[in-house]
Amino acid sequence: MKAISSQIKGVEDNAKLIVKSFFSEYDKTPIRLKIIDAFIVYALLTCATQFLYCFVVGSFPFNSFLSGFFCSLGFFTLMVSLRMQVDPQSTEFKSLLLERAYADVLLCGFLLFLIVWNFMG
Amino acid sequence: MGARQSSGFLTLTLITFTVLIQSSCAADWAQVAKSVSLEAGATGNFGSSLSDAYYGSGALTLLGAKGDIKSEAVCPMAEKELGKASVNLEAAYFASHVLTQASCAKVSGKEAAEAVARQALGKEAPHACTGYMALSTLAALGKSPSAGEIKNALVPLSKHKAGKGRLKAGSKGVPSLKATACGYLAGAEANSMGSLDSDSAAAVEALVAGIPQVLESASRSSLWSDADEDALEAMSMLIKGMDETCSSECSISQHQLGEVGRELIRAGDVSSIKDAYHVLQGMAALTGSGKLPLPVRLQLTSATVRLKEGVLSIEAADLKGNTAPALQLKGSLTKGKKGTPQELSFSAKGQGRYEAAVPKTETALGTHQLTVTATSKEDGAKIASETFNVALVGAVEVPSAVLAVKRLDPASTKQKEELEYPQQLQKPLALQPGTQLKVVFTPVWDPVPAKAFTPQQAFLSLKSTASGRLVVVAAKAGKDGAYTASLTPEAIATQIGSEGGDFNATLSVADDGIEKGLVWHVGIVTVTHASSASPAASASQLLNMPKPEIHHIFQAPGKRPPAAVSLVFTVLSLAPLGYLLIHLSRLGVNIKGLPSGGPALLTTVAFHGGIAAILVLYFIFWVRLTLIDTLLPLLLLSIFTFYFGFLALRRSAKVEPGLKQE
Repeated sequence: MKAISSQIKGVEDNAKLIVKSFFSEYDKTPIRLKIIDAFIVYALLTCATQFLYCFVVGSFPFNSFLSGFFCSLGFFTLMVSLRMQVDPQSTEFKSLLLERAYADVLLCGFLLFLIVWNFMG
Repeated sequence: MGARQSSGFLTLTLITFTVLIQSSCAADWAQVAKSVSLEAGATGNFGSSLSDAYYGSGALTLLGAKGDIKSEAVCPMAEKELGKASVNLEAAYFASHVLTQASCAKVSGKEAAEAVARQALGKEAPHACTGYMALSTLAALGKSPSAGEIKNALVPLSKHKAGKGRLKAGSKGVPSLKATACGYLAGAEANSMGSLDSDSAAAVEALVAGIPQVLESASRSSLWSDADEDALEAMSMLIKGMDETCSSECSISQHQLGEVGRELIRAGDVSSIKDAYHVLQGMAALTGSGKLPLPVRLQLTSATVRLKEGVLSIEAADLKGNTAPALQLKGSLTKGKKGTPQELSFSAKGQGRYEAAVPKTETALGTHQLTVTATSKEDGAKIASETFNVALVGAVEVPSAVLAVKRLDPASTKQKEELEYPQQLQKPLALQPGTQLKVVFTPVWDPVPAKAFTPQQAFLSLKSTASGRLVVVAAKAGKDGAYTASLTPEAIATQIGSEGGDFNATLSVADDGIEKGLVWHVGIVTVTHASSASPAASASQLLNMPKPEIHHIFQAPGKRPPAAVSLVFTVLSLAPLGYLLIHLSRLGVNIKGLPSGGPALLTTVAFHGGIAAILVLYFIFWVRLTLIDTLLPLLLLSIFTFYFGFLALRRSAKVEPGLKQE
């Protein structure tokens, strides 16, 4: 019994250590990426809330549910794309201007919202 | 040729004409004669065309109405053509024959026609038809060609294709057949006008020897059945050429000639004077001299046969209408394109009549295709073949019908009557809102023993006794052969509006296999509509009444959750936004990076103002606008935002080039 409890404690310590090191490393992330991360988490949480509603209550009206759900998902995708493009460690988009990436996201966002609001009913 | 042959043709054609009238083709030939008369016109000049005048006077000659040729109309046309400075061979050919056929008294220009023909024969003819036309022109003018001219005219005959028996032509098919026909005619013309040298005689002989192959290949490639104007001309010239060239040793299939004859008869409904001439010329050649074997025609005595009697009768007669010699007939009967052919055996009944019994148990009612082949009893050679459409009909009955009025909700039978044909309802059936009239019946044919029959059409019809308006509903077939027709007041309303009252109900069964369509008046049905309290509108009123309003049926709304649940989820949906705002403030997000003033601030504010305006426009679009109404302001706002966004972001990129590294 003692051995088991000591084993559990070891796992807990390891988990704490992992989380701690994750946050200490994340602190080094540029502020711009952290802001984008906040939007990503926001989009995911909104998505999860709508899914929960559909699961618990139902999908009526279905077009509204679909448009809301996919709006969150689309916004999440756009934000992830933006993060990849503005990440200073990214070698793939090194030559891409930050302003250009921002303008791209803006344009795609407008298009996404127009479609979503049209479908929402 | 024309002068010598016209009298022969006249006799032959008179015979032909008489025969054809006897052989039930009177309408066709009357049509030909009518066409010729119409084409001649009031003045008899055939529309001032020399070629038409040639065909017209030729057709009148063939019809035995040579006296109807108006020489005062056609002769000047021929003379005028020959008086021209330059005359071609075709014009000379037409003109010379018109002069002869119309027996023109005052003839001028004969010399010109002769000169043209001799000029053509002065060198080797390039085409068999050139040689034939030149020789024929001289013959029509009563002139004789020299031995050298005959040789030149027959040069193209040596170019015949041994395998197919045809002369080579620029293209295959009809032009080749026409060239071959010209070859036969040129050979016959040359033979009658003088002696041939050994080369020319051999060429003519070789060409004539290929006649069976020519007929065989033309028949195989369906050239006859696709007969257009050119094919008709080729066909007619070919038969005429064979008739003039062949002697008793010509081995020509009677069956193939019969096919040609059939196509000529089919082409009797001619559309031009040229066609009329060629049809008449072809028939005259087929039935005239007796050198060609006289084709036999098979005719179905009746295209409608009662299956109960089940006897198909065929009559065989030659083109002159005489009873054909004893033949052996075989046939097959097929229903539809995919049907299995049933072999039929015909037996002779005398007088050229043959009968075959239809196997009654295996044959269905309806239209069948009957193919009959006649062969010689002596050598088994094929004499004639024909395909007919024959309708096998029988008596169809509906022994009984069950009429029921049923309540739809809850389902229960309200009234039910069973009738036996031809009984009628003792009292009217009441068809009210919420009820349905159902009629079940089973059509059978050849009642002893009765067989279920699937008709092409089975209907229940209701006819208003007041307005005479008709409601028709098709009966649907069930698996057991029973047919069911259903009607509700609503279905009646969709057809004639809300007209109620008494209707005569009738069952109708029709099919091309039914000898006589079945119509059974089953009685009166009284129809009441939900809104028929007011007296029934007249037919004209119904016609002018507004159409019933269309009520769209939408999907019923789903069940909504309790308000508390909705409220909880509203809060939950807003929670991520709260998290975002809190987290952003923790990260220290601010607007300090905005330009402090001047045009830079203006462009930045305008850019962000544009973004906000687009989002506001989206909201208004969602609330009240249509997509079309939204697109124009969106376009304007997009241009505005794009312009200021471009300025603002360009400035940002210049000011903070290393921003990505932050």
